[in-house]
Amino acid sequence: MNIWHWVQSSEYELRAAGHERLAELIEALPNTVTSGRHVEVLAMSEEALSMARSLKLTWIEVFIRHWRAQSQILLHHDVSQGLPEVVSLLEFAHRPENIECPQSVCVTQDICVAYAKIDGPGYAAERLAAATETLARINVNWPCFGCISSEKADALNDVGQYQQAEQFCAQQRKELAKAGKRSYAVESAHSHSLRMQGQYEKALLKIAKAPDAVSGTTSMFGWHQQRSELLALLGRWDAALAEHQAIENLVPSGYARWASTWALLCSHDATLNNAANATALRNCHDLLKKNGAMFDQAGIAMIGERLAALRNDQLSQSYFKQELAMVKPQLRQYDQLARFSN
Amino acid sequence: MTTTLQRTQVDLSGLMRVLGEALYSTPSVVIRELVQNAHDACRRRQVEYGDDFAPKIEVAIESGELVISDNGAGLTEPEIHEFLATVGKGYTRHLRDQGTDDGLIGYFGLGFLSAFAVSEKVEVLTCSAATPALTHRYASRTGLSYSVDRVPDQRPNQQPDQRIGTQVRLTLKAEHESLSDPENVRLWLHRYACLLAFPVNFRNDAPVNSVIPPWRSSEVLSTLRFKTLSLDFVKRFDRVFEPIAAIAIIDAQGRACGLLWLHDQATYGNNDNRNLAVFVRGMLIGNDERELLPQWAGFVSGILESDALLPTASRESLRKDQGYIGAAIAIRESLITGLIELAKNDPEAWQRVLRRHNQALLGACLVDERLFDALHTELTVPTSEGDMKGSKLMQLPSGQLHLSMADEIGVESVLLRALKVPVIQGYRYAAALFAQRLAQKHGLKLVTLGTEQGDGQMFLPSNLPQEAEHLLQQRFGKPDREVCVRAFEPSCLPLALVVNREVALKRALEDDSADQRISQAVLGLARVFTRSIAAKALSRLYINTRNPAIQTLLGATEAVQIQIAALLGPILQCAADQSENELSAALDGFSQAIVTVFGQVKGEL
Repeated sequence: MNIWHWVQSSEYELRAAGHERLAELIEALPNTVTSGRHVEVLAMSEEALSMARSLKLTWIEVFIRHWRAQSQILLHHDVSQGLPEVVSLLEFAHRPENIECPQSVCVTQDICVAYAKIDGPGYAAERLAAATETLARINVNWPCFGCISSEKADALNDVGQYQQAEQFCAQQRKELAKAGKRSYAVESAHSHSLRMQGQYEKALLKIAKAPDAVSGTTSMFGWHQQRSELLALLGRWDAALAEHQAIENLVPSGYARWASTWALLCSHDATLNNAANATALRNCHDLLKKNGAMFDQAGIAMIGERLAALRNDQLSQSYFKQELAMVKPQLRQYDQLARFSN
Repeated sequence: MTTTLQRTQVDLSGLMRVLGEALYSTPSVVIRELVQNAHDACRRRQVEYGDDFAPKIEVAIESGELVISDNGAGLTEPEIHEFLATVGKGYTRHLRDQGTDDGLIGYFGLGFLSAFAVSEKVEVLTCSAATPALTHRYASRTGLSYSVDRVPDQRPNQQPDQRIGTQVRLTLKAEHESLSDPENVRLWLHRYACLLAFPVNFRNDAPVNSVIPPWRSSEVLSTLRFKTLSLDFVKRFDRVFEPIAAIAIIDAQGRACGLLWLHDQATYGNNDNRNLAVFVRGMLIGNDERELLPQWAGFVSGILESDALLPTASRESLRKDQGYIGAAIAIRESLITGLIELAKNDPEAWQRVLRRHNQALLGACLVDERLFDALHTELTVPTSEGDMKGSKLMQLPSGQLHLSMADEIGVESVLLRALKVPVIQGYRYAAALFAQRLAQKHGLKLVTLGTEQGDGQMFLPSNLPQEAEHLLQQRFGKPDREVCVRAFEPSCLPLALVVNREVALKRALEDDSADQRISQAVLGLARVFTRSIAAKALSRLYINTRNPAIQTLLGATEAVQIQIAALLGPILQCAADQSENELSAALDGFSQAIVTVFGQVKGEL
């Protein structure tokens, strides 16, 4: 199944029929998403949706809503706004007239990702089942093979089955390689499974290659940040600091890793535990809270409380403590927060 | 076992072919490369020989051959072998390696190769300032082999110092004949060489670089003078877009300068017509470095001059390093400041900008807070009452902004249309987000139609006694319909019926038929969400206590109440969100009520 072939044909047909603007929006949308330009995604997608609906192009509607969900949930962790929408999209994409839409299968990932962002470990079993079910319907020739595989690997990691995640990623990477493809999302999950087993050097090797340009700047900055965390875990402080990203470069999906890395860097150089970084951390926390991304919010609150105590900032310490106390009972598997306590 | 170090073999002919043919995107680049070599030769003569001479570069077409001449430093015979005929080792590169590269353009020693990609034969006559009595001729067909001869002086009557210089003559391949078309050559020279330091002549025209760009002007220019010179310069340079206004690129650190201009051709939303020409050391390097412009600036083109940028080997694009990021920031800041200044100081141009790029600017305002602060009163958003300026929306008497996210007409839209209240068309590019920002900034209430929150703000609580509410429930209630007694405008509308979309979604996903359409595990996750939606009625009927018919009903006998309810039936169905498709039944009831009421009246008469 070649989703992109379908997208390109649709663009061509729209242009031929005089719907130049809709074709232009469809063409621009994925790149705008992967570049992390969420405000523009929202601005464009409302207009595109309105046009697709007036033309009764329901498959195009699925495409637009899926990509908007990718931006809103996968990258910006905005589950408060995004969850009702992806549930509605799931229903829409599975109506008889849309079930054959090549993008429909991706919608299952949207809903898994939404629960991963709310409480990844808490919903890991359900996500694992959903991703396994979807993978059974597709093969390596589908462009979504990498995404769904990474979702399954993330679920395995979230449930603490790191070795299984590692083996699964290795197997999926082989399949992808045989088909002449790669998926940075799978490589990243592969690396994370090794990181969680304490094999930092191997984890670094798994993400030796930068994401392809087509993955967008969000992946590129995320890659640097993932490397930075591993380098810090290996005690290569200068290299870690060099790859550690300014928070402005990251989308909310990268905040938790940014915070973990910062905490590691502070353990080496206490001067990094400063007001500027503390403000950035507080902003990250508050945004994730507003967005309903509870697990990462709780993780950042834990880090925030610990670092505030170290710099004797009682106000921040008390703030994060209270926030953590409020969010923790809402998590199904809060023992998994231990990963933020290093 | 012994390890021996081997020398890597080079397939020179293959390498030459790749470098000559594949390194550059377009054959016209040969003109740029050779003019640049000529420029560097002139600069070398100044630096190495301290000569007081008037640098001059000439491009000519002679019997279909392209000829580029200069009166620069020239080459001695050993220099021909060492630099002209050695791939990757140009004289400029040599000087650069020695740290004396002031004002030189060349980098890689590869530019001369472009000549072989377009030529049957390349001939170079050169006379070095070091040996002004000697002139040499280099000739080659492919660049793989060459000959060098000492030739009789071509200009025996001239003074020795006037013989110094180089002339490159290209006998063009048939497929590159366009390189000898005077119009093409003129166009390319104007594009590539318009900012070079030394005069570049073509035929009897004025030098292609005779106009000093306004940002290089040594005198302090008045605003009006800057505008005139800038627009004049842009009109010469940009063959695609007419400019409305120009903005200077100013870099606080002095690493970049240039000009941006706003297109006179209209854009819509995120149309991307960005274009940026980048000059490094006066030579055009990138013809379309649009990524240096902000993504929202789809209506802007520009010229950037910066020696802090590093070209790639083909010198047709730039390395994405710190210099690049710095240049992008300087451009963004200049553009934002320039737009704000333009809005303040040049109302005529600004009105043209607004007419052509309003939507693009709406998008820009969402990305940059400073632009929003400065421009939001002037920009317009599409509403049901036509395009309205931000300033007008801020002054609406209700202090509320109404936003619709769909162009299908819902009940609320009907109400507001009856009231002539503008509804912002949130489904148009950037309109919804702009309205949200506007409401936030000015403390306005934002009512999003078709949402529970929006309904709560439109349909206000009524203070009707409980018994009266109960009576209305009786008259209008039915299974799967929630009756809400409210007070709302316009008072002439007695009823409004809306669908509870969350409940509709809950039912669709919790219905058994969903199991057949959707995979079980995914459906399970979706149902985690739908279980959190309260099981309510599918539709909600708002009854307007401000309406005279409803007020009459409340004071009437039971029999009259029934007739009034039946008479209102069709209105209820018309003022509905397609949820209850019962218009024919309502019309039946309406007819029956007319018959009953008319019968009663007739009886009374």
